[in-house]
Amino acid sequence: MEPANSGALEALLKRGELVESTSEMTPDYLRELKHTLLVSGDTELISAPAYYLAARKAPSVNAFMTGIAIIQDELAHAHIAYHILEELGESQEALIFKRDPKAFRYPYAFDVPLESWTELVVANAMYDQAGFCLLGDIHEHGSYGPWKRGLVKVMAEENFHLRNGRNWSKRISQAGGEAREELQRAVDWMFPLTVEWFGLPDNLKQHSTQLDYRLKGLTNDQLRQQWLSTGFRAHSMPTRSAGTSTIRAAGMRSSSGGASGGRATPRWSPSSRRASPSSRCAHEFLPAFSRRSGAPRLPAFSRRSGAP
Amino acid sequence: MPVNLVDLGLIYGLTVDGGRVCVSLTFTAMGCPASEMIMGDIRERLLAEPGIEDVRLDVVWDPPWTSARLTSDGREALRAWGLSV
Repeated sequence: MEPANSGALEALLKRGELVESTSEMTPDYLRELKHTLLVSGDTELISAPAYYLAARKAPSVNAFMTGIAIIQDELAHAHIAYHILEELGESQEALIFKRDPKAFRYPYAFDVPLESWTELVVANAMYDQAGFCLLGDIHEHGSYGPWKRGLVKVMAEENFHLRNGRNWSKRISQAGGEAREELQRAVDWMFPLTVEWFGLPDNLKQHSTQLDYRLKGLTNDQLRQQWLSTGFRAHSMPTRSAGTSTIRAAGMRSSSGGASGGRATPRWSPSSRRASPSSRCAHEFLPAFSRRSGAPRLPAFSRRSGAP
Repeated sequence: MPVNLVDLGLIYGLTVDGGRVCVSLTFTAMGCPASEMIMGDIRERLLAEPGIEDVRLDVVWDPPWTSARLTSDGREALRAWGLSV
């Protein structure tokens, strides 16, 4: 089927209607949609092994079960994004199992290992809150119908992750002493990395095709501000000692750790032991997904050909 | 989930003896990943009540929870949330 012309798509978007099929997309819209979905799917996917390393340090069996349930949710959310990409003509198999690890796109934060239960729950409170803001924006304003509808359940499940982060942060904070100090350290190093999650400041961006196509509704700065207000006001997180931090927002990076062209570099307090994160996580996790080593393929269920 | 624990049918009993409250409850599954979170919420909420100084929680599995324990309000809330009950 011939792709829509830009005038027809523009009119559809102006009327506030949803795009439901590729026949209504221009090639440029399709490319932007795929890119946005890929970043979302990759971010959810890479969070699973990152969270798992920390979930193993859970202080109780039930806490471990909570961590595992969150990881299962993240994999399911990744699957939604990859599944839509498959509907748009990409191979889910190739995207997950055959891509070079350096080609995965996700926030820099997941290149820094989470090493304790405390760090996991702060990640739930900060990273998942960031994801909640970003996906919530797409859910509320997004122009692509299938993704918008798929996010209804995602948002509900992310609430569970946020509650785990907030409840445990409060519990640890109230315990005081070394536990609270560890919590503060986690907040201190994870805060700037979550600020970075939202990309370039608006004044450094010249143009946003994502906004033009209503693939998102809010600018980077608006989303970042929303995260700051929803994530930290009255939610039991300890007060962050921000005095020494200098924060420059940066865009998404590839797992190689090299900054994307023309983007600012994040800087933060040299007191942080994470001041120079390597790409350790990405190099450890992503090859585990690769099937390029010739592992045998098992039959998979397919919606297209009917379940075996 | 947008439904309270009573309408979900998780609370089996509650007794108050002076400043002590005992709650017997269950979970929808033995592997409920939110069970500690739920018990923490119950404890915190009850301790906020005037005169309550001690909260005892007794998790029971018999009779097991089934969807038949949902109240009509709970059933409606879950349906509105998108669950088939």
